[in-house]
Amino acid sequence: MSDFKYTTGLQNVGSYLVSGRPYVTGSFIESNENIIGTGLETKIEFPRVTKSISLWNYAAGGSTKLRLTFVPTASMTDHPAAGNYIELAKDETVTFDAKCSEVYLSAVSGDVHWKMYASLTEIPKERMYALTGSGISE
Amino acid sequence: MPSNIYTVGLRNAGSYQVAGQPYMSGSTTTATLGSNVNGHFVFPYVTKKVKITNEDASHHMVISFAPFLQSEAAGFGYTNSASGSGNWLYLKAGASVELNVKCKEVFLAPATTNAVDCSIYAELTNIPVQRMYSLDGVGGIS
Repeated sequence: MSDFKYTTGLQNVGSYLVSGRPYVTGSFIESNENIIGTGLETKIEFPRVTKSISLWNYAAGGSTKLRLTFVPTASMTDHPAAGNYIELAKDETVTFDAKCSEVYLSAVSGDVHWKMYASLTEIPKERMYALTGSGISE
Repeated sequence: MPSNIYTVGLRNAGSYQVAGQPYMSGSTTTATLGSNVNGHFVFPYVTKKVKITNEDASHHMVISFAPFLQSEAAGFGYTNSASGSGNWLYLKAGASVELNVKCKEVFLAPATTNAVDCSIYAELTNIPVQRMYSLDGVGGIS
């Protein structure tokens, strides 16, 4: 007997119509646990494919910026000049719809305290293809 | 004659497309850092969207989908807590957040040793809460 199990795929519309399973992560606010140090990068791997992502920059420094990319910045062509990132100033937040299985956060000009909320589908992350190319890494 | 009554399940897309049944509530938390004693909201149906507002003028709060403190986890029927791993959101005084989420309960707590006024508005599906799986010990929750 076959033990193959069918699972939903990336094109399953219903998976994006139903509300997402919550995924919450981030640094501590009153301490330095999980903060992103200046010039450093953190990879966030989701257990399922996302349908939307919210990100908050709670940095203490007024000029501190937090960047989100879908690939490591070191692998990007002409980074940061090409502008393939979302950048948040202190106390800014952003919410956007995106299917992905991982994102990268980097602290540009100072240590960053941060929080992230992702609304997850039930689509296994192994179904997601690697993001690259125009609008992602170049 | 069979007595089974069919109800909609978690993956019934139509349940999330129709406008939700409203749910409104609010509370003043205790002044114990991280305590969910007065900040535990249980929904009668699975949610499709939750909006949480920190009504306090000067004190911040914490939002989680599992009890924040390990010492309170068992009292809410959980084994794991959200506090040790950063699996919680931070809501500044006067701020609000809207989350697209399916869940049957949320936990609010003060981020300092000051009580916080909070309010909550949720759009509910008609999916019975018994259909929702446990988030205890799930990655990104606790």
